Amino acid sequence: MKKSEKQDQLKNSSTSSKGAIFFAYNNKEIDYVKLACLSAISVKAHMQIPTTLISNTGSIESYKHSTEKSSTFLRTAFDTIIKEEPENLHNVRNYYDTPYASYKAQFENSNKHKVFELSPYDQTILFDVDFLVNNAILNLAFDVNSPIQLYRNAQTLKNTEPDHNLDRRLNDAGIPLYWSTIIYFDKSPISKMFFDMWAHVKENYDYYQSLYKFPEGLYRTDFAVSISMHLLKNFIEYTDDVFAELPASPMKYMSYKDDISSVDKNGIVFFVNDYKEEWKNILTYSEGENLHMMNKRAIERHYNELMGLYV
Amino acid sequence: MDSKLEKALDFSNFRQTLYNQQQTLFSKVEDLKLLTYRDRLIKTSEQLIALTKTMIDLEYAEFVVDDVNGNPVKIDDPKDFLENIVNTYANAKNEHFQGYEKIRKARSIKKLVNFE
Repeated sequence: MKKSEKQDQLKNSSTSSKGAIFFAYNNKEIDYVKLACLSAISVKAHMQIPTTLISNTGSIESYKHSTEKSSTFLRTAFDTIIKEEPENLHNVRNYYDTPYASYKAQFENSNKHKVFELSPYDQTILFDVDFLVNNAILNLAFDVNSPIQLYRNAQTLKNTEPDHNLDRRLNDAGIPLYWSTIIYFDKSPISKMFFDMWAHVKENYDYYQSLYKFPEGLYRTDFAVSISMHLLKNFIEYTDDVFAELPASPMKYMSYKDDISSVDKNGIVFFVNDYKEEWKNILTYSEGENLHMMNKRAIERHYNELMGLYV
Repeated sequence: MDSKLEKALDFSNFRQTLYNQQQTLFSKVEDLKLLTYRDRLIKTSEQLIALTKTMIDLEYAEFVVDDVNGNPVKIDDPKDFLENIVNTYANAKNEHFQGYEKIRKARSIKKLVNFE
């Protein structure tokens, strides 16, 4: 049987399972499990697929005891919880909350590539916990014959290209950035090859940092994924149907310096910050759009109202 | 500040917000034009609908179109395909029209961003 026929069979099989996966490890500043609950509930509301949380006991227990509703949210949000300890590598990230506040905290993302082995589904979409699903468009990914799908193009709330060069390329003249925010994959040998390559890049991150000349320090999975794609495409940038863009490209994102003004019953009003003149903001309203919400503190400030969009 | 200038700057802010909301609506509608057919992602358009109808009228049993990545997709049931693309396209443009009317009638930034 040809490989493509095998993939067709995998997709068309009535027993083929589909689902969403979230990694969440709390740090001293951010309750990632809490964010994962909101994201998973948005997935369930709009995509109607099962969800799995990958986390550790410390993070789950800490969230469960944080509010009275936490245990209920956790049960509503996730069908399955897989306990997996992160590698606890030193990886300190600089987070922003609007242009006027910033904080540093340990960021656990070292085991994200293990999702291929950990996923209980035949077809999986891996979501970052700060992604809110507000329509069903990503369900199309399950019906497309591409083993790996992710976003290469992103757009700010002002409908422009990313302000920061590092959100477009790995350096000023570098290879294009692929976002690891959402990754669709199946259990095909090609998908396995992609995740094996990601593991290899992660293991040799310092070497690839010097080769691809992106900033030192933080392990960023976007960079690891971008390099893996570059290596698997034989160092040439092209679009094909093996490593395809997810439906609804470009991915829309709220940057760290944007803020939420208010949330109504259908959508979110944002303050969109001007990257070059940071005292300036414009208001935008987003309804029915999928959103990568980078400012996690803003999510926390409006958590209950955001939850109200989905329950 | 001179009141004329203040008024002009308010108008300029309003126009920027209006433009942004129109762009947001446009990209939402572009997404709604997508559908999958025979494992491929296809974007519906007036041209695709016209081509499909022409092929049906000329009694082609099958024909080939491009998916979003430029790969050829064989359409082996043109009537079923036409029904799918017309539905998807009509729904998307209907959303466009409704959203546009809402934006067009807004006369303040607050109204544009549903702030009231």
